[in-house]
Amino acid sequence: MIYLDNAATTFPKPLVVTDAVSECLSDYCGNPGRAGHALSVRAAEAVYSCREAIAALFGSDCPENVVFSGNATGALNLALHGMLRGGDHVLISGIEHNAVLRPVHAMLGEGVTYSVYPASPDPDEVIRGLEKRLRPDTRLVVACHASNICGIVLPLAEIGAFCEKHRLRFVADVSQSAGKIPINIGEIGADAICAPGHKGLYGPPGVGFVLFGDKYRGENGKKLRPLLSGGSGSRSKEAEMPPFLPERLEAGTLPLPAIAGLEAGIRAVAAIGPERLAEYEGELAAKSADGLGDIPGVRVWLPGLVRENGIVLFTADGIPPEEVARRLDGRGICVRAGYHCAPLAHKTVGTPEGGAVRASFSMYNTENDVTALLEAMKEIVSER
Amino acid sequence: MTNTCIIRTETNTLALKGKKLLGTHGIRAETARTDAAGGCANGLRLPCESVGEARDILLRGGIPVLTDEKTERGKR
Repeated sequence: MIYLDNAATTFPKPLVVTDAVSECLSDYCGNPGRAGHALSVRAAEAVYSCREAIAALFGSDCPENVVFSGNATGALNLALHGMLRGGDHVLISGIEHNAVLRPVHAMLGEGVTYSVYPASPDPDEVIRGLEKRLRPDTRLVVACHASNICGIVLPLAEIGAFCEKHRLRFVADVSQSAGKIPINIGEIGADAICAPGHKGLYGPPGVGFVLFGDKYRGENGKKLRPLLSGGSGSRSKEAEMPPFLPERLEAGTLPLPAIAGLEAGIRAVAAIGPERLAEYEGELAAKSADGLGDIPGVRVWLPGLVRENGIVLFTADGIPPEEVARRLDGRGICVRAGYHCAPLAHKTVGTPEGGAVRASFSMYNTENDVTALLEAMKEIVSER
Repeated sequence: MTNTCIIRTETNTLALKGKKLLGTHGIRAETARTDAAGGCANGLRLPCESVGEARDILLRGGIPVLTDEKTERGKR
């Protein structure tokens, strides 16, 4: 099997990740932060160690500002719900995933409104789009760092500077860029960055996180409205969630095995180097895009940007995307078709009805995988 | 036997951060659960003679410290 659906979740995982999950489950899977016994303490130390790894990866010295969630969608919901109130206006980009669009849209009922600003790799174009849509009641900007369907990468530092200038909160969705593009939360001026553990950080599914900026340190955590309320292992006699991060926003038992695996994944990525991984995956994507573009009847969308995040988006004349994906699957090649939970991004790119086919690479793919994809697509197109 | 004291922190996570910070200053501490404030409280257990220095280090490191310390005779 050739797996080219790494933008959905990376597979396989590094052996150190598998080992870390297994070790956790067999040796120390207590409930972290809930008791003073040895197993709970060891579990809590494992959780804290992962918080440290995440904070370090994004240039923060605040491990306590790392809040775990079930996935990136949970992290984005947590950040958006935490910061937004009725009457607030939000600016979201034209490449946002439904993990941003749907929570913001759902808040219409609470009096939150939103506008979509154009997504472009050109910083000036992005800032012009933001300025044009800025309103007196605008409170927050969301930026998807790297699209999950194409190579558009938004200029986070420039967007962060815009937010600082206009006193807006800034949430960055780094789901596709974490582990590939270096990100420093202080340098981009974000209030929160959100990511899953199971994509470019090579952790297991089941954990995502928000890293909040310095302004939420200490009791400032109470500025954030909890999305979930429940047990936190502290201040149990009080009916309200504690004011301090991360406990304020982490109700219920944490997914310890996934967290242990995520830390191992982060350390594996750091050992190789995110830039090196991005370059390797970008090279495979570029070769794929070149080869696909040479096949009559195949169109590659935004081929000039495929190196940016190792994703190739394509369509075949006369064959619907899901049918292309089905035929590739029949040849042992896993890709994803449709709208990829990102209708805004598809609209920005301009794909036709039905969306497109996405091939996305990881550190475990090789040039042989590219060759197999190209040969399969030549056959599929010839079958029309 | 050395008396141990508990410095209370707001959360278990801050206790863990404090433990690491104290370790870099040569003070060995362990995270602890206590029955202070009605129960389910968190803190750091350490030798009582280190409490003053530890409090200073924690506060300088941005880790809030609560005032109701507890002494445990003969433990550790």
